[in-house]
Amino acid sequence: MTESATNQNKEFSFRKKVWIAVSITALMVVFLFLFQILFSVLLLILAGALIALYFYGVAGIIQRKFHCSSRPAIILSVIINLLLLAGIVWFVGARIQAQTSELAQTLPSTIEQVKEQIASTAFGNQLLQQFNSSGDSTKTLSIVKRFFSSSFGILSDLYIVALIAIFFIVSPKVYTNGMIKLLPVKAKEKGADIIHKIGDILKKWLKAQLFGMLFIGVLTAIGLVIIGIPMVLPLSIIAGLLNVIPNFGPLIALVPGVLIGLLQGTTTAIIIACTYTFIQIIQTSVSQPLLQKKMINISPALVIIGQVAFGLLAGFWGVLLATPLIAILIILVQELYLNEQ
Amino acid sequence: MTDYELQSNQSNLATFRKKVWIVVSIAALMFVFLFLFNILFSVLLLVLAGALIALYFYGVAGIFQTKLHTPPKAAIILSVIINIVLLAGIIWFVGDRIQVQISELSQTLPATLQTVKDFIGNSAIGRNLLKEFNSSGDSTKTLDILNRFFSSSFGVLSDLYIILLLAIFFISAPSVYKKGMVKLLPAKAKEKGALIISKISAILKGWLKVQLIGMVFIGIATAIGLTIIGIPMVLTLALLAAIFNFIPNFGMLLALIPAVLIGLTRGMGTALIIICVYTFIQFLQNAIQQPLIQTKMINIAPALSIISQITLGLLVGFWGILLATPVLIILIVLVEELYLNKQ
Repeated sequence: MTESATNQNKEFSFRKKVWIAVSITALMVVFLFLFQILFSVLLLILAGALIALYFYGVAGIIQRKFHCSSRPAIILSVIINLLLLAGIVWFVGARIQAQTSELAQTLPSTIEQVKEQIASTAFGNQLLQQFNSSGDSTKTLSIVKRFFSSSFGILSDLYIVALIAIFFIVSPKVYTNGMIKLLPVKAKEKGADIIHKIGDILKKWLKAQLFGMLFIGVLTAIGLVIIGIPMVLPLSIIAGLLNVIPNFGPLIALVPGVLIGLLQGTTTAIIIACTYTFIQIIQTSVSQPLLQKKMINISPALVIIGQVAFGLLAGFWGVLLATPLIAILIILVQELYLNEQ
Repeated sequence: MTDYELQSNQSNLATFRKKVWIVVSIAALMFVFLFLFNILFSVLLLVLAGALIALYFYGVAGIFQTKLHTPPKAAIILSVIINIVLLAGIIWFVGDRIQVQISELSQTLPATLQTVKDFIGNSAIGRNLLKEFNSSGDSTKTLDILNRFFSSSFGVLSDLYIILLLAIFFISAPSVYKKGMVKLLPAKAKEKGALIISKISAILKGWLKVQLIGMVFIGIATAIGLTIIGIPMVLTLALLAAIFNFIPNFGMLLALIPAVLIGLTRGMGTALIIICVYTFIQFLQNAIQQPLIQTKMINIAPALSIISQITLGLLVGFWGILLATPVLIILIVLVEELYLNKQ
C-alpha cells in the first residue's frame, strides 16, 4: 500500500519535472521567435532611448551650470534644442534648399561628364562597361537597398522613434524601474548597476559623436571654402550628419563633394577627396582618443563587423546603431561573464 | 537470473516506458499548444474584442445597478436597449447629414488631392518628393506594408460579424465562460485563477471607461475647434477624430489626414492651423486622460503601449494595433500576479 503510494508520488514529481522542463523550453522558443521578428522594433526603441539620453545629457549640463532642479532643466533642454533647430532651419534652411535644388539640377549632367571623362581612357572604358553590365549593378543595388531599408518606411519609423523618445523623456524612471522590477530578487542590484552603466556609456558615446559631427562639419566647411567650391553649406552639413554612421558615412558624404569637384575638373575632385580623407584622419586622431578616454574601448574592426552583421539583420537602423549596440553587448559581457571569472 | 531479478528488470523497463510516454506526450501537447497559439493568435484577438464589447455593456449595466438598484438581469437588458436606442438615435439624427458630407468629401477629394499635389509641386524639394512617391517601386512597398499593417484576419466584414456574435454570446451568459476557464485550471490554481480573471476584467472595464471619456472629449473638442476655424463637414471630421482616438498614438494621425486635405483646399495657412488644433486637443486629452488612467489603477507606461502596438501590428496586423493596449494590460496583470507578487 505504502509502496504504491510512494511510487505514485515519484511518478507525480517526475511528471512535474517534465512539465517544468518543457515549459521552460517552450518559453525560450517563443522568446527567440519574438526576438527574431522584433529585432528591428528593438532598434527603434534604442534610437528613441538615445534621443532621450541626448536631451538628458543637455539637461545635466544645464543643471550643473545653473544649479536648477532636474525638472526645469529637462524642460529647458527641450526648449533650447527646439529653438536651436528652428533657428538653423530659419537661417540656413532657405539657402540650403536653393543649393540642394541646384545640386539636383546639375547632378545628371555632372554624372554624364564624369562618365565621358572616364570613358576617354581605355581602362576606364572597360570599367564603365563592367559597371553598366546589368547583372552586377542590380545585385549591388538590391544589397544596398536591403542595407538601407528601414523596418516600416522612413517616415513611420521616424514617427515611432519620436514618440518613443518623447515618452522616455517625460518619465524615464518608469521604464528603468520597470525593467529592474522584472529581474529576479538576487539580480536586482546588479541589473540596476548595469542599466546605469549602459546609460552612462551611451551618453558619453553620444557626446563624442556630437563633437565629431561638429568637428567634421566645421573642418569640411573651412576646407571647401579654401578650395573655393560652390555649395559649401549643404556639403559640410551632409558630411557632419553622415559622420554618425561610422566607416560608411564619410564615403557617402564624399560622393556629392567629388561630383561637384568634377564640374571644375579632375584635379579639383582629387583635391576634394584628399581634403575629406585628411579631415577624417584628423578626426580619428582627435575624437578617437576622446572617445577611448571616456568609454570602453571599442576596437574599430568590431564596429565594422557589427555594422555588417546588424545591417544584414535589420537594415538601415542596424548600420546606424551598430556602435551603441556593440557598446551594450560589451558591457553585458564584461559584467556578466568577465567579472564573474 | 533469478525470478526476482527478472521481475524487477521488467518493472524497470515498464517504468522507463511510462516515463518516456510522459515526456513525449507533454512535449507534444506543448508543441501543439504553441502551434495553435501561433495560428490562432488573431482569433484570440477577435475573442478579446468581443469580450471588450461585452464588458462595455456590463459596465453600463453596473451603473444602472448602483444608481437605480435594479436586479442584474434587468440592468443588462436595460443597458443593451439603451445603447441600441442611442445608436439608432445618432444614426437617425446625424446619419443623414454625415452621409451627405461623406459623399461630398468623396466627390471633392480627387480635386483636393490635385490641388495639394500642385501645391507641393511648387517647390523643388516637394517635386522630388512627389516623384519619389510616384515612382512605382517605393510606393508599392509602402502600400504593401500598409496592407499588411491593416489587414484583418478574415476581412473586415466577417471579422466584425464574428466579433458581434461573440459579444452577444458573452453578454447573454458571461459566467459560463469564466467558470469554464477556471474549471480547466488545476485544483491548486483555481482560486488564484478566478482572482486574476476578475482583476483583469475590472481593469479592462476601467480602461474602457477612460477610453470612452477620451473619445467623447476628442469628438466635442474637435467639433468646437473646427467650428471656430470655420471649416465644412465639422460633424464628420469630429466623429472620425473621436472614433480614431480609440487607436492610441496612430489614431490622431489618421484622423488628421482628411481634415488637413480639406484645410488645404483653403490654403496652406488653414491646414497648418488645423494641424495645430488637432495637436493641441491631443495634448489636452493626454493631460486629462493620464491622471484618470492612474486613478483607475492601471499604470501603462505610454512607451510600452506604442511598443506593443508595433509588435502586435507586425504579428497580426490591424487588430493587433487596435487591441494592443488591452493585450498589454492582460500581460501586465499576469506578470504582476504570477511573477512579481511571488518575489
